[in-house]
Amino acid sequence: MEKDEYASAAIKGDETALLQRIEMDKQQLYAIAYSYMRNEDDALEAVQETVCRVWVKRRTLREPQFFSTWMIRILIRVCLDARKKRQREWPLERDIGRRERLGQADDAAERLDIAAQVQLLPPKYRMVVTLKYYRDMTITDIAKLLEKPEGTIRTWLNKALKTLRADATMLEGGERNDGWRGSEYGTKRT
Amino acid sequence: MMAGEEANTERNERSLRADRERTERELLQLPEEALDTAIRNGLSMGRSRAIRGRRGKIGIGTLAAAMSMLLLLTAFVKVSPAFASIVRDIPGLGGFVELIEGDKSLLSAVNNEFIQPVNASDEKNGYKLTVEGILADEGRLIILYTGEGPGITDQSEIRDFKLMDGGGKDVIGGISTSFFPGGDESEAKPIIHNYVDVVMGEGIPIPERIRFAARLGDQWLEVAFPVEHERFSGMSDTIRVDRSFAIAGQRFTVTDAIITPLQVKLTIESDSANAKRSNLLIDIALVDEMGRKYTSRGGLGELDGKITYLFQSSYFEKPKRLTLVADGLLLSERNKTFVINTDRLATLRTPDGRMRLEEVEDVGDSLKLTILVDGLNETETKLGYDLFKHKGAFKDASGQTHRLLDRDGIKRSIRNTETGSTHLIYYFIPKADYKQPLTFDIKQYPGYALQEVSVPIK
Repeated sequence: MEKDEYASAAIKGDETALLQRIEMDKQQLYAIAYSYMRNEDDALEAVQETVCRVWVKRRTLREPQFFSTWMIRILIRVCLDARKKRQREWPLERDIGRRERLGQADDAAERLDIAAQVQLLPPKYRMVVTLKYYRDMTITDIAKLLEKPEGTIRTWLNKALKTLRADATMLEGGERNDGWRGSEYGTKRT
Repeated sequence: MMAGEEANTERNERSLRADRERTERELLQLPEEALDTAIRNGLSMGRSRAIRGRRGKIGIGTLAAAMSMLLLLTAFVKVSPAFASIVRDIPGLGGFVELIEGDKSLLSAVNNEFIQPVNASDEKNGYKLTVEGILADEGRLIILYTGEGPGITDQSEIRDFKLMDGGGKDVIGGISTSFFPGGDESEAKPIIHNYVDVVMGEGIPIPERIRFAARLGDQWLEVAFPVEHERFSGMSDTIRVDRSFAIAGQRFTVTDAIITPLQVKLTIESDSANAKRSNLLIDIALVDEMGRKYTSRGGLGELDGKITYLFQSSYFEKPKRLTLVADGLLLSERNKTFVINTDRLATLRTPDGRMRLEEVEDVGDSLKLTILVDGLNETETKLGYDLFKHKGAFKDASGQTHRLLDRDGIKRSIRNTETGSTHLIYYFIPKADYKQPLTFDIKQYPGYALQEVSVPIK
């Protein structure tokens, strides 16, 4: 059977065909999930949830040849939602998100390398950065996937890049008597 | 400005590409089996979800179930009935629950009704800034505020704000704000809840009146409110401790502890005769007789000398006993030098083979030195190192002294590795024709001793 035939059978409820069709895209699926989540467990969970939604929604896919795009769109939605869920579950992330102000250094914030900074971006920015820089997609590809005009994707990307700190550095307050020392909080991150 | 932004964007693109390479390497180890399992599990989840979904459409059962779930979720937030009544009294306070939940001191204070309602607003050009309430004790002030207006959502970050006393003078202290980038913007709420956290400097009282200004969009707004000192007067328990302890031969004395509703301040002095420089007490915390742990969120001052650590407050828990615990000490040798040749990009002398000159970059009027410290393990990763003194001096080979340039403090970038981290620390020196090599005095560098300590505080 050809790719589209598997997809076509999957839409009709053929589980084996669905598994075979997903098999063809599984590396790409995992690569996107991993690039966004940056850890194996979350990436696998995202893939699992995606397959679940693919099965539930399979009848909404009219054209079997668009199976890959359609599935990746679902994955993207899952990734964006997963982040929300995580924030509820992990109050620690909030500490990492704390940005220090007015000449005060936060060791947690200092530790933010570029990967961590990307993770702190609003989800849609984080997703376009992931697709563009980690998955080498073109603006056109991303626009199609996210069903947004190319201009919007460019704007998001620019905003994301501006938000990221220069050279992944953070400022520290320097040595001063009222400056913070010690680093006991919010220092762990995955 | 634009050029700066472009340079920033370019640098970010470079960093992203480098990080992408790391991701690619990680992706080479595809967890094939786990991935296949996830796919199969997903399918079976899909099967059962599809059935549930159909049932849901039949009646209102699901709605009722969803509502009880909502109640259940609310119940998970560990708030007391007192808090519930405060939420009723101060409309809009509910939005702060999630924010303060992460801070044991704040949660405990609110549960004990230790809150001053304010509910004062400023409105201009469609923007509105409201201070809903404050938490204050003699050394710490938390301002709970909301912002609304065109383009403001719970995803917005308020970057610009000012804190002044009644006379318009800046409030001096450690000031931080919580920024919690939320989830999906399409579901964003049109209001931002945030708080400003002020830890007053030593001996500086909380002002009687605070003026809080913040920029929403392009609009500056200002709300002024009194801080009712009578709410916290007398709520302070000072304990004279005067107990000494030693780690790896370095001696320290815990001098005193001040317990107030929003924090515990504990001062530690190091012995001036200590042979090595003390950089950080590892995993320092207070533990009470019930085993409850109050962690530290940093300190004011320097451990090698005098430091006042700030811990989560035990004030409302009223423990009978409190013990200071730590797992060891980050320390380094004194009087070490770092000798480099910036023309040849060479490290000639270093206190630690893992520390070396990585890059010298001409950035207009100055030279940017990138110093790499790699191979740090998990323990050594607990500190961002100040290799040289801020605005310190260095000497060239002719013996002439020069100063490090001040670039708003010390910049560093820290990348976590599987076993710890790699640090890049940046210093700026004036662009000049130096007689090489250059000699820098080391302030601190990685090194540690693990040793559990336990000091009774009360």
